Amino acid sequence: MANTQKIPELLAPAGSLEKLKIALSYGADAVYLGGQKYGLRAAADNFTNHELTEAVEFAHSRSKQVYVVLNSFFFDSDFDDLLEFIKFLERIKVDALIVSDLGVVDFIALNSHIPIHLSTQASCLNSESAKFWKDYGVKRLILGREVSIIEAAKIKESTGLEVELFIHGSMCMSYSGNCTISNFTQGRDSNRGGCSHSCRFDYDLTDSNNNKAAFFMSSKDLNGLSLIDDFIKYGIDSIKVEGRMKGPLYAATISKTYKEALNYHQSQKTIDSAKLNYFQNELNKFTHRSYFEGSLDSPAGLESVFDERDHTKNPARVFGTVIDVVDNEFFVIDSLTKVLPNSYIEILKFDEGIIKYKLESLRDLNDQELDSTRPNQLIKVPFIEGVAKNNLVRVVS
Amino acid sequence: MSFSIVIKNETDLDIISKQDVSEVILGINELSRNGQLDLEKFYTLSHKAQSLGFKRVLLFDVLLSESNFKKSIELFQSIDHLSYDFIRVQDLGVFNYLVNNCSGRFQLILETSFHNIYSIKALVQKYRNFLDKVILSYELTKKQVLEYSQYLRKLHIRSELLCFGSILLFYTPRKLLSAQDLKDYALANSKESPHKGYEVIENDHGTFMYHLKDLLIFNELKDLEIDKRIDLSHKNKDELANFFKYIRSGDKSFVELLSKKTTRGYFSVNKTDVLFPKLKNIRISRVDESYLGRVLENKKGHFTALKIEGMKKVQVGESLKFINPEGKIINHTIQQMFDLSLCNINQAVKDDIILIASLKKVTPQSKVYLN
Repeated sequence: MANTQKIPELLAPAGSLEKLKIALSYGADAVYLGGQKYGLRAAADNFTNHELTEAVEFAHSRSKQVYVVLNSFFFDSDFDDLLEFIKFLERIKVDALIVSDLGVVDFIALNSHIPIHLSTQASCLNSESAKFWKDYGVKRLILGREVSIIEAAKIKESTGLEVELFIHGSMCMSYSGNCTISNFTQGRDSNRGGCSHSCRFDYDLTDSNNNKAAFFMSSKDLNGLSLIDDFIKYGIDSIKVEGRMKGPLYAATISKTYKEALNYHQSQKTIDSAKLNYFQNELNKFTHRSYFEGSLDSPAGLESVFDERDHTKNPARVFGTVIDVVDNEFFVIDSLTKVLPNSYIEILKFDEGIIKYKLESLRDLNDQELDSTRPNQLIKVPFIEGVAKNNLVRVVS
Repeated sequence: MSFSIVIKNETDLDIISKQDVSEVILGINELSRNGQLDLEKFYTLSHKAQSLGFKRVLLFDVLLSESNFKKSIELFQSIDHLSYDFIRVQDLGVFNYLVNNCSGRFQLILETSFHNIYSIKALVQKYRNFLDKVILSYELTKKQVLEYSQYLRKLHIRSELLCFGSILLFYTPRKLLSAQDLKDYALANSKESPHKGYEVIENDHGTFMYHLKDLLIFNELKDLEIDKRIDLSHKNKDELANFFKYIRSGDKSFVELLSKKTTRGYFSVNKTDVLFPKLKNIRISRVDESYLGRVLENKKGHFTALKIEGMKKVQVGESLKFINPEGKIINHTIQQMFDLSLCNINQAVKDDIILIASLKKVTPQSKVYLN
């Protein structure tokens, strides 16, 4: 059994170039993203080829990695342009491709040297399945969300492959790749990027005796922060956060919090309860469903169902992004929401720490005083030492 | 016409005993998702099926975690190998283990993924010597089924498609009915869509949900040289008997006797990705060529703020094209340009924020291109 003290790679979602820069700036070691085709998030912005080029340059200039998802289940026609796209990705030096379809794995292995990571869509759950995929050239396994940390370590040991586990985010209730509700009821193929999230719907359930209304297929959100010690102890190579469709505040907060937790563990060899509480509190500062630990420690049980509609109330909301700083004069926030004077804001620094500030007055770019901000408005704030361009700003109640 | 039929009891065997059935599929509860047979019952049915001249398929279609793998394999190995002719598996790990450690011919379920010839070729080129049959996905169109089955036949591998039975929509290892204090079978009606009457079944392997309609493509498959599977394991015996009456008589009123409505699924055409372009506003999707940036704010009568994002630079005198989220195009030539300190500037580069004149119909998130 692996018992290294290697710190796992922190892998964050990047639904857009903006979110990629945020995630990497806040501490993610790598990001995963989709091009205009072949991914599982048809509704996401996704990356054009120019953006992909810029993304890789941005990441590599900071010694970070970019993984590109091609993890939909392919139709034959999807292969028509695949070689051209793979060659493009090879030219711009992406670090790995995330793939679920055996035909695509085989195609890439034959036509490229880009490392292949097996997508969780393939529901690889055991060592023998891992060996199957290894024989086709897979270098890393993004294991099914049903796999525990200890099982992942066994799979790693028996195959020599890198293993990656989800540590945070929304969960499919079904075995990934094995759900076709959306396909057959909404006419949108969930395994090609069109999931309509029917599992989050409210249903009336009737058995022979009872009738009950329930969100019975909706899963709580994964949060494996308290298991970081195990991820490290068992030599998990990469811990992954779900959420390419989520906003910039999410990208910033998860990257910053998990990186700080990993760094803290590296220096202290553990995370004490006070520090753990601090990190958990940070992970509560964006909208989410109730958390649980998935199957990371033991199989998800009856309590894993999120039987309600509303997400948990979050004590913070995104204000916006610092789009520029004029030294010793002011900085500018690209506002995403309504904020009133005398609100308290928190500016998330790229390195450790948060700057807290009371916005006594609000001014626009013309220095006109405002009664409140609105979305898509540039707000001037007096200069604060330590604030940097692209910092995320949140409003706390 | 050659049928493979899931059998759950001796009555089923009696019904099919004189029909054109080539093989029966037997599911043991520990190894099969919806297997209803204990070992004793399995041996009894296997023996009887053999005496009726049917080939027997042992169904081993559960997905296995690392922790459950060894136990399930041990159970499988304890089964008398003379009690079945083929082993049908879905978990690629189980398949990999069995081809390397057991003798026998395998039937591999490719109903998840494997929607292209490349994946099927990649698989069979390596494992053809072990494969008796592959079970194709019922998400394939007729054209695909024809092409793939022809390819497989040349390699002496049979292919099969579900022609009548339940469409599995969802498979989780979690116990979703127990979580609601319900029994192991329930009907689910969506409160947010018109879909009423999903069958939900829970057992030791987890929870399964089935489509409101059963797949029925018997007539469409008549002329194809593939095996046709009938899986009525959740139905009463009449449904199986009625089906064979229908085959003999061709009386289409049989459909009215069924417990569920039927569908042909995607056999005629699969358009499950045509809606994707409508999932986002393509008007404000970035087009690389000539891309300059996006509009952050337009303060009426004062300024339009742009963020330069593309690889290009921009200077005073250049002509810009704005595309707003409604798709309207606004052209503008820059007369003056300011930075955030409101200082006049002549040129700006990537990552700069610039202010130009306030423009009508230009809204935040409009994309900006160099003309």
